[in-house]
Amino acid sequence: MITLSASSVFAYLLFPGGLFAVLFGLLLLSMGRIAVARFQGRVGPPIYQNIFDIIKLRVKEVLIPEDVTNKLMFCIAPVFGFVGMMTAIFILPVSGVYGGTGASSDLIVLIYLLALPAVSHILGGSASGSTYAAISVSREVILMFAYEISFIIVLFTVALAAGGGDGAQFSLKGIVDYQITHGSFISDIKMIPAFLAFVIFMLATLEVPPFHIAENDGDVMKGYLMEYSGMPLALFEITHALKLLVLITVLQVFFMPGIAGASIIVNLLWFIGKSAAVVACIAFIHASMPSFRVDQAFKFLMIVPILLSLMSLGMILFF
Amino acid sequence: MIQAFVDSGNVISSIILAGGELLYFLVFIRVIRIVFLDKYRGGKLEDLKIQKLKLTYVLLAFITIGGFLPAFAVQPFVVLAGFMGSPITDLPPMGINWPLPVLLLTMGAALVYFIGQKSNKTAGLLSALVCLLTMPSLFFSSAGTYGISFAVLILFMGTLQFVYSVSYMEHSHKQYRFYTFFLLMIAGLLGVSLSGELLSMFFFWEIMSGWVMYLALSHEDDAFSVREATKYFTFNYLGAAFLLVAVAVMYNETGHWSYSDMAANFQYTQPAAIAILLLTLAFLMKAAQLPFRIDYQMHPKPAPTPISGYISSTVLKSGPFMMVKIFFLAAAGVTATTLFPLELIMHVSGWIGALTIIIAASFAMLTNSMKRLLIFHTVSQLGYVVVGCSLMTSMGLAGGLLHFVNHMFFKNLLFLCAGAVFISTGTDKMDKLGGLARKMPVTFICFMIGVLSIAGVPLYSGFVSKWLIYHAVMDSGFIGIAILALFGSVLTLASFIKFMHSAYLGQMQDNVKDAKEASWYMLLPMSVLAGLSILLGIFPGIALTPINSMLAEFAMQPMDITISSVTHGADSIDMLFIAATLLLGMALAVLVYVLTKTKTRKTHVFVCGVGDLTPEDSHVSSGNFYEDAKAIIKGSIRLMKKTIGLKGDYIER
Repeated sequence: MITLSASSVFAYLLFPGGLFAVLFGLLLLSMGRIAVARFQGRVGPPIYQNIFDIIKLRVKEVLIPEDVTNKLMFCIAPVFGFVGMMTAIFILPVSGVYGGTGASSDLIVLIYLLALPAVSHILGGSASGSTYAAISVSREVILMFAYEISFIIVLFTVALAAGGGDGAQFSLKGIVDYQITHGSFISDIKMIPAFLAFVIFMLATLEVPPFHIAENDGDVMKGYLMEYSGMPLALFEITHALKLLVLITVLQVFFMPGIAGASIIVNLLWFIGKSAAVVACIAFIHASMPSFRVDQAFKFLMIVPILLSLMSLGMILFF
Repeated sequence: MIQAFVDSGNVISSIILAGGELLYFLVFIRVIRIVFLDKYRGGKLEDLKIQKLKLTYVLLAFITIGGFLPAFAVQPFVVLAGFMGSPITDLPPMGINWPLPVLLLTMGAALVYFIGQKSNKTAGLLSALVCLLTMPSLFFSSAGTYGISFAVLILFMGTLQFVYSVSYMEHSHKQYRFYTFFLLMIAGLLGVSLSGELLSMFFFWEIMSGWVMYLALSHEDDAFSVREATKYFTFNYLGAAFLLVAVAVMYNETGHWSYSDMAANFQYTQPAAIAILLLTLAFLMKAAQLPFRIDYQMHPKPAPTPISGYISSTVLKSGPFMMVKIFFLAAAGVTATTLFPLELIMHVSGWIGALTIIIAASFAMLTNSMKRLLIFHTVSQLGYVVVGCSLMTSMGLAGGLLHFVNHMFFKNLLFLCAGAVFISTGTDKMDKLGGLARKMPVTFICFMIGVLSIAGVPLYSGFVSKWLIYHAVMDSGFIGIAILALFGSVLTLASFIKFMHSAYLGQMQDNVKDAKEASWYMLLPMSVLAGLSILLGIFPGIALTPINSMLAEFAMQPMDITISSVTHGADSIDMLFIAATLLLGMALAVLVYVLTKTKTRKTHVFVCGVGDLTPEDSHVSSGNFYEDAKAIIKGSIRLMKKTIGLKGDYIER
């Protein structure tokens, strides 16, 4: 039954979910922007830029186009992704800091929660009545179609590997615990292809180059975000920041949940350090890659990550 | 048919017989088809129309008499056999037990036929009343929780369907005929769920998927619906042929008709294994699995929407329903040494289910017709039910049966929404629609609830059942099935996004300019189903409690459940907890909206300054979605055509 204890409310609203996650996610976004700028020889924005963006959007007026097909859908679409990500960060364990929620903290739940931001983009873009948004919705779904397959396979690979030859381990906490006793999966040669596939999945979900397709400024002008302004847009931005943090946390849960010591503070710093390192790597790829066309991206996603993840799955199953 | 029974009672080797019978039935089907086609050509002439109906009724009467009094019908043949010098064999006792609710429903159908001729409204509401009033009589049934729960759902869905039909069938012709056959079909289905013996089951099976269904499906009487209904009827007949052979063999092997006696006397012999195989095949065919000629195995698109929705959501469930029953019957007689064939049958059906999920959902990506898309998804979602049920673990069975119930509600909801759109705009093509959400907001909300349910988004039904199925599949170690099933979810979401955008959202098209919101007769069943979808999403325990007692009935370990949570081994999920976190997030978002004081201004959509775009130009219609994904699917269909020789372009018609 439901356990509405003070600690879980605290975990949901303040730490590690809620306020901490939003602020940390926004900081990670800014860090990414700075890193990309440095790679390109620019200075980049200050570290608090994304937080200021949100504060600025708070006072901006909201424009609602008259051609919006369904006003209700247009306004509640951002909420879908937001609640999905809030719940995801709440159920994800942070090794050595936070143990997740026990019940319901599970891989299958995670898959569906991770799909919610894309659903909210789709609903919002589609309801806005803009043609650009419709094109970007179509692209988003095509990419989702392609990257979800490899994500599903990676997920089952991790579940099987964490089961240790004895069925599959679906509990997120169980996966973390297994790796803490048996060593992180990133140091396991069998899991390296799955790791690469997951990184490609991350890039595609976050829509950073080479997968900057659905909300490409160049041809569809931010796509589904086009008609959004003011607070709904801010909600989308917050969701994006949370999504970055959630994906990085999932990466750490799946492949590198190692802890640095017994103290919570040290582990938290270790978590922040690892996250920053991942953001730096993403920024490096972002800065050095051009973007695919949608059909190229689809072909690439249908071939490379799926083969990589199947390779890992095969090795886990048969060796 | 009866000859076949007598025959199989005598033949030593049932294997040869099965092959012979199959050939016989194939020929028989051919004959029926020719008769049908001839009739249909004749039907074009006005004066032959009565003739055609008469012929149909005569055939129906023959079947009914043969079914009512099988002993009476077989007597002449026995006498004939005696004349020809063969010894008089012991005929198997072939009495049909009519459960009380089925009798009530049949009488109700007759009532509707006569009173309902007055007006459409009378007939529809009377039919709904008949369904509703039959429900209490289920308390006196002795069919066990499994059968009775299904029967309650059958009648409940029937009631909703009839209320909906009052408005839907308004502009059709001879509605009383439709209602009567629809009620008879429901009676047949009720008989399948309540009957305690295999022969009665087969008898009601024939009512459910035989002539009555054919007549209800081809109600519109135009060439297209007759042709499609004939196809589906042929397919059902093939399934019933397998079933008939299997039923005869089962009787021959055990010497009893009733399930309990059969299970007690079940010996695992070679003919029995073949019978189980044939039964499984027949039930899988009823559930429209094995997607090779999907236009034959799917119920026809041009039928009236209420009956399409009913077949999709309820009638096709008789396949998995009986499959579970038969597996348990067979499992009772299985010892460790003979377990292998049954396990193989179950494993293969699991794979068939998983492949069906993917193939049918990919076909749905291609289609442009609303109803066809929903029908493809029926096939696909039934794949989940088959996957869950074929595992025969308590978790898998619970997941399969929960999906069985969930799918009933959300798929019917989607069908009813599509029907409302069809009535209000007069088109079934998604390309011709667009921007409907503005004209039909309530239908749109109901539709969205259906979509979120079928995609398995948390908080909506469909999530918990899929969660259970994935866990159960992984527990049994079938990783391939699990991957396919999960991927099927993505495909489902993708094709429904296409539906949602091209029909309800985007730019308003000319066709929908004067569309009106559906009438209350339509909205009422839709809102009831939408409410149930959300209710079962947050409190799956409501459906899992009866499922638990079914598990106990099948002598399996019940699941550890509360009203909102499921626990199995180390895995647990609490929907109320997830709902609370999601709702808390929603409250936060709303709070953010409310606390920020904003001016709102109305603008127009930004189109880069282009001023002369018509809505048609700027709407992205269903044909333009997912080009790359479609190319892959079309490529694999072409490959399938080359390798296994498929014919015809049957996706888009």
